[in-house]
Amino acid sequence: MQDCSHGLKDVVYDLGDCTKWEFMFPSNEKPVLQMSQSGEQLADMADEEEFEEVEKFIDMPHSWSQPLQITRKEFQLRCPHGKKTVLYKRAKLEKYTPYLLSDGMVAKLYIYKDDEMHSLSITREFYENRIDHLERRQHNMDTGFVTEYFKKGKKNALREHYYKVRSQGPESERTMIFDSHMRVDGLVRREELATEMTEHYVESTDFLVYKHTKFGKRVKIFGPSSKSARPISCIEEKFKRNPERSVSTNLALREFDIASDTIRLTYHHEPDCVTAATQEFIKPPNLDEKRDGTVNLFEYLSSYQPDPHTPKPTNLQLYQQLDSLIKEEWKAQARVIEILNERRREEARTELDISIYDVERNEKARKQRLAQVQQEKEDKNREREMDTDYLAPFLTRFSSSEGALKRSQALRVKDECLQDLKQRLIDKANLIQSRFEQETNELQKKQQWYQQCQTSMSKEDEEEYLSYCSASMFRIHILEHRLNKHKELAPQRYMALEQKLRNDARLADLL
Amino acid sequence: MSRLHDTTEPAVVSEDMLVFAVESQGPKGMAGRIAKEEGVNFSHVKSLRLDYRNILRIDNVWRFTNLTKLQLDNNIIAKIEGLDMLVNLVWLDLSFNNIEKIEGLDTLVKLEDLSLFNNRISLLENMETLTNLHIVSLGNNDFNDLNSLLYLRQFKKLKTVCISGNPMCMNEDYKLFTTAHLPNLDYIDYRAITTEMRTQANEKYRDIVEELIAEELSESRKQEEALIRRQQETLHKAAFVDLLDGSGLFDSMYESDPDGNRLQEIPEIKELVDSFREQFVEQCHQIFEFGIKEHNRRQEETDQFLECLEEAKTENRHLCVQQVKTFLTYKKTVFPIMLQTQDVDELDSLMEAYNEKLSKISSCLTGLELQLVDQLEETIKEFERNISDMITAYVEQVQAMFAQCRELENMHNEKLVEQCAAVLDKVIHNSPEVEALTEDLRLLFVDKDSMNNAISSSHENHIHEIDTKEDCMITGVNDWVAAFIGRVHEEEEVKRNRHRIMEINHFIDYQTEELDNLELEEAPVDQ
Repeated sequence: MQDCSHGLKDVVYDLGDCTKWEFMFPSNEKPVLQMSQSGEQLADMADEEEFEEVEKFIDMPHSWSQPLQITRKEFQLRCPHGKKTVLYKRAKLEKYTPYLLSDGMVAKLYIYKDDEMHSLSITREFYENRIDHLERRQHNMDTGFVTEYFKKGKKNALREHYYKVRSQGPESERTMIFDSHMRVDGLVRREELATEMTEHYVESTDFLVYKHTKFGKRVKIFGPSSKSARPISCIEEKFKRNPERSVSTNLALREFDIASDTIRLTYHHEPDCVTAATQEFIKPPNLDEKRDGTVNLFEYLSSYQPDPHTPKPTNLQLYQQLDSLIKEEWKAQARVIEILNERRREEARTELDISIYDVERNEKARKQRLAQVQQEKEDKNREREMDTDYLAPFLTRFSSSEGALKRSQALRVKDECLQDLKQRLIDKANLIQSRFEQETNELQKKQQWYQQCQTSMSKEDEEEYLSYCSASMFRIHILEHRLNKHKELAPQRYMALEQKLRNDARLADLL
Repeated sequence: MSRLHDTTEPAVVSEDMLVFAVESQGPKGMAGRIAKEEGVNFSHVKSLRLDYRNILRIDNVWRFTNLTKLQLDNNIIAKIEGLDMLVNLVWLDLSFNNIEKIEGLDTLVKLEDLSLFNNRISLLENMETLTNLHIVSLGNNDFNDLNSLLYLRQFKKLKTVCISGNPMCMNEDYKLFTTAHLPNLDYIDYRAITTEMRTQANEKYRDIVEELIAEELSESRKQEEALIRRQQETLHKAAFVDLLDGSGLFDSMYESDPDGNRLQEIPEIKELVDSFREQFVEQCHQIFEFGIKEHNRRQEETDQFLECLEEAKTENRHLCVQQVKTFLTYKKTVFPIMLQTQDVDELDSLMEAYNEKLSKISSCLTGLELQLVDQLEETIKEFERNISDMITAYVEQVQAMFAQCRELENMHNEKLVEQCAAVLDKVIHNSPEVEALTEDLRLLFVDKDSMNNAISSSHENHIHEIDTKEDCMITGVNDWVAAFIGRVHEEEEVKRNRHRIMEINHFIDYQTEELDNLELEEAPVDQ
């Protein structure tokens, strides 16, 4: 090393001097400034060099700086604090590290209308690792519409979702587009308005092509369950012609008019007919299995057949048909409700998907590892405890006197030791007993409370109560069990200690 | 099998037994009560169980025409019979019976699952029509020869077979044998055939199976050829040119002509006939080609015509359906209003409007129908004109062609007369060539008259044959045209029209009735 405090003035350019210059090339030859040479010489040189270069190799010098130390966390953070904002003309881009934001957003792009960046036109948000597979969300400020794009592999095969930003609840205007071939029912598109829902299907196995559900006005129910579902007033389903079935059993349109308890069926046209067969059932009141007697369904049916000579179905056939229709109606209603609930649930939670290989973030894996460490620690502690002397606290009192204990002292040590154990056993029994009583009291109180307000209780609360009861019963049972066991074991422990004291080398001679 | 047989009386399949079985196996609850109230209709029953009933003879089940599943297991049935009417059967269980012969299953072509477990059958037979079989259970029977299983090769859909408990299963390799010989199987004795088993079986029986396959292949090829030939024949018949392709007509001419045949024994005459035959067959072929061509033209014409009809009908139907649809939508909107309104005047006016609409749609539909009838009539007339033109041309051409045939025959006849005269000469002069003639032939040449008689009768025969064929070609076509036109008139005009008018009237009646029903409901509200 050379002193450079005066700049390059005093630097000696003797590169061969190892004390002044860092060793870099294998040879000690000083580099010579070569003057221009004739072509021949150059060629010669090249030949020679080629020859020699086999042995010459460049040994890279060690770095002067310390090796970079970046922790995994820092590396994953990508930039300080995991946040970065880049400004472009009429646009602003915010970048975030994955897992930094709780909703999984990794980038947000603002697009402005003007150069001053005052009026926002579009924002685009990009997401990663979302458990609901949300990939991108675009918010158009002019129209107020939000479009969400989802990745493939989502459970309900949703690909796109449009809705008005102001009304995000499950009962507002929205359009959803699905991957029809990923769904069993072949749903491609669902449009929801405030009072109706339309679904389009493609290649569904039951030849359904279109389903329209109308909702009625919400009936106010007083009580804890404030979010009652909207009542469905009408479900209308259109079917394609099933070429495998005869025309007369080929439904074209099925309407469950729930509000007026009517089921209307329209069949496909017979090849040379201009009118289609229709059936209209009015659901007879109290049509259930428990009722005695029979019902004449012809009174509740008005049916039109294009060919007046078609044989009339029997009452039994009608009953069976109606029965299956009513079951279908329940199913259809349940499905609609399920669809609405599914959306509500999904919107409520924005969890992130964490790979099981990501030990830093995967909560379960981390807990497992921590538990392992804890276990090891405990094992060590136990080993240490084994070494502690159980007589030490009693012996210390007499340790001031000369080495060996007197007989009276030994007896006292023994008594105290036994007394101590007895006290501890009793304490423990009392503790268990008190906890047992406390638990029982609480359960009783809860039961009383339940009986008082059973009538005005919502279903969720009731379920909660029931689960609490079962948990409480379990705890009581365990406490009782432990108490019994303790009572059983206490004398044995006492005897065991006595035996141990009798055999103890320090006391044995004196007792 | 000897159980119960001696101890209890065999039962008869009686009405009571069937009714009891149907009722006890039928629907329960409300549906059951309704069924009881309505009475049992055997033709609606889908499945029936008649097991453990000591039945000796299958009887009285013919009324269950819609039955898909029939269980007759654990009886003492000796003969399969009385099942012919149950053509919808998919599942038939005849296990644990005394059956000795497979029979009476020919009409059950939809059968997929057949159980003959634990019987005394020793031969697989009479099952050719059951091509849909998926599962066959043949265990605990009297099959002795493994080769009898080859009968099952014809069932391409067969997936499961049960054969254990037969004498032939003493052979340890029976599973391998079955696997190799019935390659479509997936299960033997209710166990899946493993890949190892399959390879092992294929190795063991490769040669035999390959031979079998080759045999079957040639057999099926033969059948295909026969089928093609049959199709061609029907085509020729339809074009009325049968016998004209090749020497058919010529042969038939000589078939009913003993004298002509006899004359051929003379070498000179034989030569003459051969050359005549050549020319005649050539002429026949021309007629044949012409006939086929004309047939195709007629076919094209009729196809086009039918297409036209179909198009007109579809278009008309579309219009009608549209009309009906608009009316029904109107009805759907107006009925709730009628139900809700309290105002009698308004209700009256609404009903009046409804009736008006109804009469309007009625007249509209009828009008459309009339329009269609006119359209069809015109099309049919035009077709008739076209086809009759075509037929006239055809008849003329055929006649001309057959005239040529006759010409040929006449020419041939003249030559024959000349030749025969020469022969007669020789006979009269007793030239040595004549020695070779047979006695029969010599009889012809006794004198000039008998010779001339023979020749002219032969000629007449030939002309008659030709005339018959010509007649057949012409009348055949005329008959066909008449039948076709008649059918078109009957079906497309009369029948269709009646059907449509009836439908329209029925529809209108129903809609009026609907309104009346609505009023009935309405009545108490009004008061």
